[in-house]
Amino acid sequence: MLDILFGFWESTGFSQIFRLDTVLFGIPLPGHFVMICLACLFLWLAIHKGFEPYLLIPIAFGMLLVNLPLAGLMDHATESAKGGLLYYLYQGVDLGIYPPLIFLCIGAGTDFGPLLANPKSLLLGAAAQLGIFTTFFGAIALGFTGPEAASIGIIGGADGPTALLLTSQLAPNFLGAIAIAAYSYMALVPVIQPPIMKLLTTEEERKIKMEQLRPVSKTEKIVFPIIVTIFVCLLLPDAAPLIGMLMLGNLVKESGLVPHLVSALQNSLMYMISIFLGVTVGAKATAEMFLRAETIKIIVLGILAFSLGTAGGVLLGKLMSKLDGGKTNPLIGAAGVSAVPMAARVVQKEGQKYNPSNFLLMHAMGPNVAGVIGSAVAAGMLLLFFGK
Amino acid sequence: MYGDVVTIPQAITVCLFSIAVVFFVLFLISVLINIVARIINGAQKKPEPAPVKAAPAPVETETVTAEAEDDTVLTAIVAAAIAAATGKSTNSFVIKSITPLNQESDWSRISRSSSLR
Repeated sequence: MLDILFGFWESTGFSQIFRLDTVLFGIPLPGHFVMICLACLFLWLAIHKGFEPYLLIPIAFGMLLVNLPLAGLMDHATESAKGGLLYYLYQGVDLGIYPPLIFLCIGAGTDFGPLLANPKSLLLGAAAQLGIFTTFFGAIALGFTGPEAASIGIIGGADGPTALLLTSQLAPNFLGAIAIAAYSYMALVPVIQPPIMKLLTTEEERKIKMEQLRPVSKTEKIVFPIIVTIFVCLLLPDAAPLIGMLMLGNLVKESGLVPHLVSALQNSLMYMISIFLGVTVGAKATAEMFLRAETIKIIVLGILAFSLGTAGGVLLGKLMSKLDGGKTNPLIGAAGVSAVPMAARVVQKEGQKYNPSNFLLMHAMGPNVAGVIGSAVAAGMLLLFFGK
Repeated sequence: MYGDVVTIPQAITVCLFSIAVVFFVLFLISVLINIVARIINGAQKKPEPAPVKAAPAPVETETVTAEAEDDTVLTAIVAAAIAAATGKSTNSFVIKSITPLNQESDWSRISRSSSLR
């Protein structure tokens, strides 16, 4: 009887949960237990504080599931045994399927009108990618390998699907840490960006009122995704999955002929992929992969990437303002770090704080969507250098 | 192209080359947008007669004083509405004062605002 009871106890996760199986800074820790506590903390941040709940809830729950001892949800398939449920769902990340599908849905919900009305805002989207490459350099200096440094740098693109695609291809072991850093910082855009915007601009610059954007014709909006797809995918084939899907989604929307498809992409498919992507990315955050000194470095480098990206955009905005005789409000450069549409909303709010009659939202949407294209191109470059 | 181990000179090369390509690609897209816009808008404008240049006469709004409340938000809303209705930039007119046309009773104002909700 005692043997049966002991066998039953050994078969439960409770017998394993406090096992000191992880070492962090030389201190043995009950890895599973610590990770379950962290998952609960992220769930609290997502549900109670509202930090990116659409993604942080599935990510945190994936973390929780994979750290339940003996559940084996991420176990690899072998000849004799089937793999875990999350292992099979994770193939969509591993094979680079989910992030481009998310881009397809984002494309169907993006209006490139403000960008087409003011094409020079594309340069602000390029300048805001500065954070990716300076952080890449910093990560190399800190001893990360090339593919790991590229994956850490891409946090500065402030674009979740791009960061996940690049990391799943280059440094899958860091996927959990990078996903959590990227989405946490995106939720913190209203906290991180305003001090940098204020530091780099004068009050006069922040008060600049921009002229109304010209109306954009439907033909221009339809031709844009076709031209960008042909041009970018020919020049940079590694960026084709992201740019191709983004532009397909946008063409579907702008054609105006398939409203049911647009609705399916913007709603059903978007939420379905988000839940699969989130839960499987969270499932990569096991104790042995997450509880490492490198995770702390990733968190620090991530905020550096984000801040430098914002600074790059604002500084080019200042330069543009000088060159066009004060017609450009440099604050709109901060929206170049993607994080659509949160970064543009921050610009609107900050601009109105200094000049209540200022409406920068549509002007900021230009660099904002340009940032999405910019970070996809940057990811394509990093895949070119470090892809296998 | 590069392996796991990257030297500092290689990292500098990656940074400079990549940022240059990002700028180059986005700059070329902006040039393409300009060319396409010129072709499309040119083709659309051809059959139309030359538009008459609108005189940038400042638009005056009705005058009346608002009480000592902070009306900067109201001013911004009215400016945006005038710009949308006239198709002119908000820089082409000046709002000197904003005054309601008819002084209605508090009861009718509350009734109207609640029916708009």
